Amino acid sequence: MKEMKLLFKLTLILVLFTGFSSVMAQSYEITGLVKGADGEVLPGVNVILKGTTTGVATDFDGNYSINVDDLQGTLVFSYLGYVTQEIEINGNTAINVVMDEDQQTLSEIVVIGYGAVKKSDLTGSVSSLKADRLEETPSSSVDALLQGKVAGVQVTQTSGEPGAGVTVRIRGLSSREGSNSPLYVIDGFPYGDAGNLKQLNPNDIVSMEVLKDASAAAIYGSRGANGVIIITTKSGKNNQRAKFEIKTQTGVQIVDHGRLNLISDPLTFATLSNEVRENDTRNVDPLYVGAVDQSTGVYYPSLTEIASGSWGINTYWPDVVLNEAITQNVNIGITGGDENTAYAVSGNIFDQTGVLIGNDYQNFTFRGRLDQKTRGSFKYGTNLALSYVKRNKTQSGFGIGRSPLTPVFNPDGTYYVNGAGDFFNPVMLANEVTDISNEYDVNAVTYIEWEIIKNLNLRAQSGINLGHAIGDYYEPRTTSSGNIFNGLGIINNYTGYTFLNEGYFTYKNTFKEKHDFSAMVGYSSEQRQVRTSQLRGEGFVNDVLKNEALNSATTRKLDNNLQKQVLQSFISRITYSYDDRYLLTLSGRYDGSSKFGKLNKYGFFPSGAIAWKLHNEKFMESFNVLSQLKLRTSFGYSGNQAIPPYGTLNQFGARQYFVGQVLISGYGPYQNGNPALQWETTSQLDFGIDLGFLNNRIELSADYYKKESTDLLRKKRLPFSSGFDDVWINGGEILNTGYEVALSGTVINGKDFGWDISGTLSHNENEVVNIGEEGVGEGLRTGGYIESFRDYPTRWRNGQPMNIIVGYKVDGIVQSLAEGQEAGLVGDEAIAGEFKYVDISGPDGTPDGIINDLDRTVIGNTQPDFLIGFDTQFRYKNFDFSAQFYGSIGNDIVAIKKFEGQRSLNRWTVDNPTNEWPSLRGGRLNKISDWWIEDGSFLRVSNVTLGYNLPSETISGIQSLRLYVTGTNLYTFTKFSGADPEIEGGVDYGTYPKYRTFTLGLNLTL
Amino acid sequence: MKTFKYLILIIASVITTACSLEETPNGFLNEENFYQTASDAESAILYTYAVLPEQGYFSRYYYYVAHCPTEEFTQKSDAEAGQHELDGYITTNTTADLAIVFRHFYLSINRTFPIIEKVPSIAMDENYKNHILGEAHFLRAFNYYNLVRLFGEVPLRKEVMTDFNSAGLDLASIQDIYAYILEDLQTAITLMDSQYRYGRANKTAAQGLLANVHLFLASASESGLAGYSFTDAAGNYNLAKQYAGEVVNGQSQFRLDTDIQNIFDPVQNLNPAFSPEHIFSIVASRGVLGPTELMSLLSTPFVQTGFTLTPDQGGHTIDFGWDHVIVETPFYESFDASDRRKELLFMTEYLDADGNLVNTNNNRPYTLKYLDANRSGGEESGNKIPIVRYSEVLLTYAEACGNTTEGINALNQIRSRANLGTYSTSDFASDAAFRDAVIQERAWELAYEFNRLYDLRRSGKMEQILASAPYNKTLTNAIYFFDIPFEEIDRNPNLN
Repeated sequence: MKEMKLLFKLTLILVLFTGFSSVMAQSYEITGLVKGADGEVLPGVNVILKGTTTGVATDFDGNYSINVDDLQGTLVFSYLGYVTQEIEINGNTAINVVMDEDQQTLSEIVVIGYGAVKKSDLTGSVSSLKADRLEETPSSSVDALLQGKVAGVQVTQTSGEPGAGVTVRIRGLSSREGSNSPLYVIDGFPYGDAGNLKQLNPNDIVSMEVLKDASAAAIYGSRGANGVIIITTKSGKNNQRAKFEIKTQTGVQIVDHGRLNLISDPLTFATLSNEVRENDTRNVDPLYVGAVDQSTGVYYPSLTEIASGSWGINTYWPDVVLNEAITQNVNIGITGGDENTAYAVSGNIFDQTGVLIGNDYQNFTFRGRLDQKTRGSFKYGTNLALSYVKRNKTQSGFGIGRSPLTPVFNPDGTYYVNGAGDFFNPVMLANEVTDISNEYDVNAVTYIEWEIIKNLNLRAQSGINLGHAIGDYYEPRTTSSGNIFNGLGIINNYTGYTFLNEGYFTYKNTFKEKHDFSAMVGYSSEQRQVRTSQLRGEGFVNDVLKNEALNSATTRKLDNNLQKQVLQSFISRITYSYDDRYLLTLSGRYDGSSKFGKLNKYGFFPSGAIAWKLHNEKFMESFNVLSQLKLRTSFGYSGNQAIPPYGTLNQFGARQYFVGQVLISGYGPYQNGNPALQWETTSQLDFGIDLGFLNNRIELSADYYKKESTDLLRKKRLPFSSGFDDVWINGGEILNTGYEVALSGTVINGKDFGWDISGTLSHNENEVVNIGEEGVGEGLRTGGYIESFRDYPTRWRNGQPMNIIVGYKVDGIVQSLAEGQEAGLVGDEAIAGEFKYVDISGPDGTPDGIINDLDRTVIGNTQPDFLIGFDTQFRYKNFDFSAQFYGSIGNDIVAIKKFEGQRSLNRWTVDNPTNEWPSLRGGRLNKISDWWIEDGSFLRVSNVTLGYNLPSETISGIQSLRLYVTGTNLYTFTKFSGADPEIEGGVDYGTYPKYRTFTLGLNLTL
Repeated sequence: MKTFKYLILIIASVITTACSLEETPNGFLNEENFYQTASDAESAILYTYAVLPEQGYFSRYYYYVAHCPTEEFTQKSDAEAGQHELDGYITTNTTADLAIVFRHFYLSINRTFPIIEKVPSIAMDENYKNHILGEAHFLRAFNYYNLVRLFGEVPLRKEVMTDFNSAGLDLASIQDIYAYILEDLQTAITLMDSQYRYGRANKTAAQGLLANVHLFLASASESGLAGYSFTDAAGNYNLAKQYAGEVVNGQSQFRLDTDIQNIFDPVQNLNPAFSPEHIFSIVASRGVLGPTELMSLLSTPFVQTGFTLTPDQGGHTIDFGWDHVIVETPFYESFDASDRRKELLFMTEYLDADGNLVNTNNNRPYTLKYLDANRSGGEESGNKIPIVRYSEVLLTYAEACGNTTEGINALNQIRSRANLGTYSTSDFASDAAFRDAVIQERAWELAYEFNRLYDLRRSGKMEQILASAPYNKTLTNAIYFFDIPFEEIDRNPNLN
């Protein structure tokens, strides 16, 4: 630092000296301080007396001093990225200046993968998200923060569990058995599927670019089909003195008990429980009759006992199971640099207690970045990120709906259980079960950049991404598995690494002022290896050592696995623009993957795009109001190779057989390989328009796309008589068409008051054009198997969207056995209180009076018609206020929890012969029908923030100070009856409880 | 020049990391690196056996398929649809359980092909090599025999599929399938030795199974079962008698166990040598990583920890079960009151955790043939499931002999052991009447041993027995043959 300061002073002296030389005997000194709008001092701002060569630069503390002949004239302040200001001297000798950042967003640089372009020069569909205040929504990973911000991107957060991942989908689903998640690329390093980016602290992000169309994503070739999200992290700035940023957040999570849908009144609970068992056709006796139940040995009080209050136990389980959950988030960052070196260092601690007892999550991330220029034309640097995550998981959520008639503890302090088969006391689960995972991640990249000759650049980088995780698991004797095994201990190990090595040349030049040309060509290779192993011990002397002495178990089991894959690619891109009016981009990637067959190792993914900047045409000059009008179109191919390796090889299976004293491993034919296996290819056509009004104060961007995925990677089901189950092949086709609109605008931009709004809208239509030769009538079953239905909720059928719901149509409730039999029902399904179904068809295509599989039809679509996001921001003097909304419209949900809790009170009974609800009958095997389907549309107030920025002069030494409160997930408008309509895959299995979060935050810059 | 040097350096450092895209197996075997040693040969045959105790086969779905469509088992009301369809004789080509077992038969068959093709060239003890080859022929025949008895005409795969694009096969005639089965079993008898290896088949097992195949052919031909007109009754009864006779009279290693309980002892399930009656039983073992083998849970009552059998029945622990398949009470009542098989191999009472004698859940009888009292590891249960049991071969011998002294003697051995009265030839008016009595004896002796459905089918007695008192069932679909599963038709281009 000392040297830097010295160097700087020398420069300053030099500048001053040259200044002096032009000074006449009488001169005045003007001094002042230059700051940014956020109160941060700006070093290195050029201050020039207009019309002269007299000029100085501000020093490290933002101070300047300039000598002028007289106190007339104008000073010009200019600084890259800021609006140049001209200020008349008007006799003042002290002039302080606040520089505004350049709002002309079109000059923004957008990262597009192996390069960057000006936003105005984009030809593809790329949404850029700057990280301004992104981090004020408390979140352990950045994925969730994308929700509602980018048109065409669907982010679904299904679980409220701390550290839980999300699903990210760009422009619909397109793969059957491969991945549907976009690729994350952080500072040029491909991280893999989006969804749980725990390694990156949201505070470290500068910008995120979402590459949506083929022109943008094709540069990532075989991994671009689901779109690409490029993340750029903070780097230091040259000639900037160290800037300290401290950000802290404290949040509290609150569960809405109303949404838990519980029966907490003991008498109602017991009455319903008895009713379920009385209606059970298997002759089971009601429990709450004031007697000991034979099968469990537990005394159940009678209804009279409960009603009279003599039973005395009334546990409200949510109070037992739910925590006061606190989130703490502390972030410290330092950036700075001298003439040649720039650095950024940051550390983050994120600590969240789950709303369920026994559940917490900690995430520590560290990031350091160093960029160094050297003599000559080299620049090199390194980027290092470390993270450590500790998850403490729990199953205590199962206990939330326990009987209010049972206590938490026995009088002697031991856990109360409902007979020997009850292993689900939530407090016991939270306290006694060990389920911890420790995850360590390192990402290290070094690069070298070299300007070989003017306009020709080479960048080479190598990096490694190393992830290691250890899972510790122990179930003591008080738990289900622990009881069976006399203690069950497991250690899971995971080590995965990706080694990346790549280099590319970039040539950029302008010919005859009007022809801008650039070309990039490069090579990239990536090796990935994943090693997993499991150590498992069953049967311990006691539960004291937990899983720390697996070798002492009576039964020990081992399992291990290794997977390797290699990707090798050649990349290139050419851009050309004429007169800043006509733009052309061509790109191609030639990708080779070890996962594919000998004949199909390599695939080529070309794309092309053109754009026309109409606003730069002569004939548009009179339309002043229109500051931008750009038309773009693109077409190209990208691929998907996200399947497990070894699909091309025959694989033997292994299974042990007992031959007396020991088990011996048998080996033999199991999996058939397909040597012709190749990529899944997605072609995409995109038309887009970018509009800017009033000097781009209002911007609108709209895209239409048609995305066709063919040669789907899928497992072809082989006839059973082949002796094999399936083989990976390419086949099938999925079509996504849709449009998306993004609008942003500054409504008011006054000195004291400002109002900005932005919004996104997207619509996607998905169609399974052809899903292969099998399952044509029935459709391919998808979604998880639901035990209470003994069925799969969703299907794929040709001509329908993916994951449609197939089932029966309910036609009221059976009111008498005769009516039930009349309606084609048999057995228990014909009795009063059961569902009546519409007889849609029979074997010959007409209704046959029998209710069976042939009466099922498409009854719902799990994919939304529209996704909307809306964001509004106000500022008044030093206060600001913002609100964000997110919504999904038109999707259906299979509400398998529909007939639970409070809603079961609507049940059919002899006294309440409703046609809307069935009876409560134990042992009912449900059928998937439209009765279980609910409209899953919702609009959520996802975030509301009120902030205050302390005026920068208030406390010396503090450049800026911001205080804010944020409420997250504040309210949801929906007709859906379940706990939360934000569900992945269209089936409400009942997830980890969702909650509101209130956060108090402080940002401090020194 | 310097520029050039740097350029070479950087490019070289990037390119040198290039590596092969060739995929080589990691952590798994395939035909490139297997079938080379004696251990490989043994491992390959054990892999073929290992299909049998899987859930999709003996330890769950085949248990349903073989017993729900008879008078032996019904199932709990929230059992899967497949069991209801089997139990109600309304199966279709989409009945899931049938598809599951269909698949497992072929999985096992498929594992025999590379053995028969590649094991002969392995340098190893010739006797053991031949035995392994014999086992492969035996298992292939066994699986095809299950297929043809359940489904009739099925695809007859004779070699491993090499190109998945030509995976389709036509249905073979019942005659062709039997020709293949008989040839395999005769080959097996020639190749195998008589040594007893736990959980594996030997020559005696092959003779017993071959006798059973001829018996099936004989009575199917006699009863006029569709598709069986190609063969004749008398010849097959003779061959059944011949091969069963080799087991009954031609060896002494296996014999009737005087102690009935000992055959199905709930704690001795995994003991290699405990009953001379198990000629070939497959072994579902406890403690295998992967799919659990849960035979014992299916017909065991749901009771809490601490419940035990009565001392008369051995006093062993009853670990909680699923109550999934339920003994049909009329069938239990069809046993004579003095029948020891009723007394010892069914449970109607047990001791609760406090040692009180209580009736079983809902006063139901429970079969004790597959109880594993030492079940550990939750759902994994150890069971010996008899495929070729001495008493079964003895009854086959009796039935093949007809109403003769030899036949009567064989039948009487079984009846006396069960504490029942014996017969003489004069008790039966004809061979047919005698054979009916043997088939009824088989129902009691071999209950829950994957036998009854086939006895009823081959003798054409499905309706006669099941649709009349006391069972009074309605038989609707697929009475003598189940439909080829839809998945097979859908995926097999030759069938759709």
